[in-house]
Amino acid sequence: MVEPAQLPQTSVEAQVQDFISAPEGKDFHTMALAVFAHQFRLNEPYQRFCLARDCSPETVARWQDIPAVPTVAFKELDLSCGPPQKIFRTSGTTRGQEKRGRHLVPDLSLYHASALSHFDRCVLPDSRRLRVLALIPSPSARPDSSLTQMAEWIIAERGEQGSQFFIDETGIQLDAFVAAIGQAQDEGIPVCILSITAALVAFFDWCAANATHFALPGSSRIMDTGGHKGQGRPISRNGFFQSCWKYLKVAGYYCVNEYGMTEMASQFYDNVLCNRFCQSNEPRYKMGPAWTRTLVVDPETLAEVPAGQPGILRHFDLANCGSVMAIQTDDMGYLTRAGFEITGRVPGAEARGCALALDEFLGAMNKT
Amino acid sequence: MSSFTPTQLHTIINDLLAARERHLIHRPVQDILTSIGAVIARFLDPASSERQEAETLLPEKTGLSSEMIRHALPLIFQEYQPERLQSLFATELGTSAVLDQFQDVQDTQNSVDGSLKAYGPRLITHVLAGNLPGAGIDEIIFSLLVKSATLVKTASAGASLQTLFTSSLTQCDPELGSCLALVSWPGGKTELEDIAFSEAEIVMASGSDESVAAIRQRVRGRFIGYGHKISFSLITHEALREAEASAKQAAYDIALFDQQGCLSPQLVYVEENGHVSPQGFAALLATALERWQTTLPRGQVSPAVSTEIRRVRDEAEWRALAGKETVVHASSQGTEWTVIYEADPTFIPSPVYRTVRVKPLASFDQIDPLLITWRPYLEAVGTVVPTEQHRRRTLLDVLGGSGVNRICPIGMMQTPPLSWRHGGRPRIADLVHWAGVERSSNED
Repeated sequence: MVEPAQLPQTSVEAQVQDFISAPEGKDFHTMALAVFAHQFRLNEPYQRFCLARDCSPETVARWQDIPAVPTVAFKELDLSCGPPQKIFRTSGTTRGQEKRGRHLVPDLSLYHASALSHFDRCVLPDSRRLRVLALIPSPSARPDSSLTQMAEWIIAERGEQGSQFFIDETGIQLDAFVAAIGQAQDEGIPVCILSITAALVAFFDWCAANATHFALPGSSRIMDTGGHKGQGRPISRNGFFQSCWKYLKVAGYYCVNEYGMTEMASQFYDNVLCNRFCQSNEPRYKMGPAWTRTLVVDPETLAEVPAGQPGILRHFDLANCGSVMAIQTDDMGYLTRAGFEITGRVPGAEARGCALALDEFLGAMNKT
Repeated sequence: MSSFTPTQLHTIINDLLAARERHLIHRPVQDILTSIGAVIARFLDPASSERQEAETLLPEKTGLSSEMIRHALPLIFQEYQPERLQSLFATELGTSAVLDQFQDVQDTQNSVDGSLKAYGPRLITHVLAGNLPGAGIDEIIFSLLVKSATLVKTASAGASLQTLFTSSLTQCDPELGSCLALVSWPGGKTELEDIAFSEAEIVMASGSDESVAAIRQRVRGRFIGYGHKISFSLITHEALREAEASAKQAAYDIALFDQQGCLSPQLVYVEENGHVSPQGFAALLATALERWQTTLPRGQVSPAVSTEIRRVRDEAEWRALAGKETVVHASSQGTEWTVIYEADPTFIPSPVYRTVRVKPLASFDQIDPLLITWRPYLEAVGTVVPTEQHRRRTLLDVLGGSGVNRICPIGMMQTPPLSWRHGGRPRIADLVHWAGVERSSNED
């Protein structure tokens, strides 16, 4: 259990905490403007960023207009409204040996409340208690990973006996994971696998190489995250679902993809499991908690695009109260009826003239 | 032009080779030049159907604006006028007549007294990449001039400047036109590529390092590859005396072809302690790019390009907010142009499409270490070469030794003379082989 924040909570943080614990009937718009005013006042670099755009709490009337900070900002400056209780660092694997970003979190309890609440809704909508097998770096392996932090809370507060991490300082513990899967199968104990996508793919490859497959008990489920980020072999979403069924007998509607980022306290999940227990027929897409909103903007003009049209995702997250709530990603996606779908990173090199392009050069350097 | 079978490709190649035998190998170069000159004149005539068709077709095909296409077409074709091609022969082969018949040579030093003739290959296969309007036109012309059957695989199907050129040639001179064929197929059709590569004595290919290397491995004959390259500008004290004019010229180099060419400057070094500071020059460059945007607007870009440019802008803006010596000048609405001043002189390429970093240079000696990583990729430098002897020698020595193969005035980077040694190699001389006849000493 996380300790309550050591610092006295400002009233805005307390209001956000209240919003997260009982979102029904709360007004996102009013709360978002209050959080923006709070951040404008206490987060000095963010204030300068806003002023360079002639934006301030006096001029911003809609939450959609709150200036969004690109994720690269977290590599240059500490964007925090107060002294950090915890510092999370990005892994920085997508573009070679780049600077790592860091997210300073003054009040970890907001992250805790947001992460667990939405995990419960999307991964445990049936309120099952399951053994959690985490193919995610353990706290000793990645003490500064926000994903590790979340998994640690899930194991401690939602996991049954036998819940544990299977990636340590020396790497992925495939033998131990295989043994744990075999044990769950033999004992008939349903499990919740939390995994970096690439780690689970490595397990599938192991199964294929050893001509082995398992049948996990009913109610077992899989939450995967991170896509590939250049690690491991690429796999399509359908290929992933097929492998989950082939090697673990976990059906696609028990496979929930998580999309999160170090710079954000809240996460997004596939709605499939939630749909199943709410008797909803919505197609699969990502859903965020009530204290977030997502816009899709045209990367050329940064203007909002209508639902269904592709663009880059911009998230607004009240649980980021202690840093910046409006985050501009470079993830491509489109809005759906009540959420969004992510279509991947914006691709790099493409047909152009004969100029050596930045991404091409970086690609060449990464291969050597 | 669209998809076809290996048998059909064999037929195309056989027809090309037969046409060469009939119409090309016995034809004087001068005669070929006349026909090519007629086609070039058509494209240089604003009223011609060729020119109008090119102006209509190319904006969508290339992504460049209509204004840019109208501006660039004369620039592309003026270099291929017959007198300029003739002069290139003089530079590289001595005379074009060596392609027509054996020419007497006398080399008393080596006691050679005989004759020489140059031959082009039977078939040259060209693999074109990228979508710049003029790409490959020069190669096609050179390969016909050395009397080779010419097979061109274009970057994409459909009409392009190459197809317009080909049909105009066929119209002006059907016999010469029958020695040139354009083909296109989707990538990865190795069966067709193997035929196109194995039948050719020379294969010329342009593209990324990766794709050029992949083609090189599959070619049995000679291979001439043009990988992607990078160029930059160097604003010397001499250029800073007329800083505003220099900024306008440097901006023109950046704006032309939306900075997609291997001759487009991706970075601007500005010598410190001149009439205008590097930071001041960055501001002038921004003003100039904004002006060019009104007369030569940038074309459409893909979401990937917009995102990449935004990322570069964002990084710079946040470095500035973090107190680093960085200033961002940028077009206000979209990503049309971006100038980033950075005190750190490290050479960094750009996402192009009119995105450029301006960096200070303390002295010419500083250039070499900054360029070491980029040696294999360097193409051109636009600069104002000092007249003062010592400065001039230092600059040219440093640049020449750095791997750069073209040093030219700013404002002229995209309009290289025909004699420019693309990739550091001769253009026509690289295509021919020589036959020499030695006279016996007792022959008269």
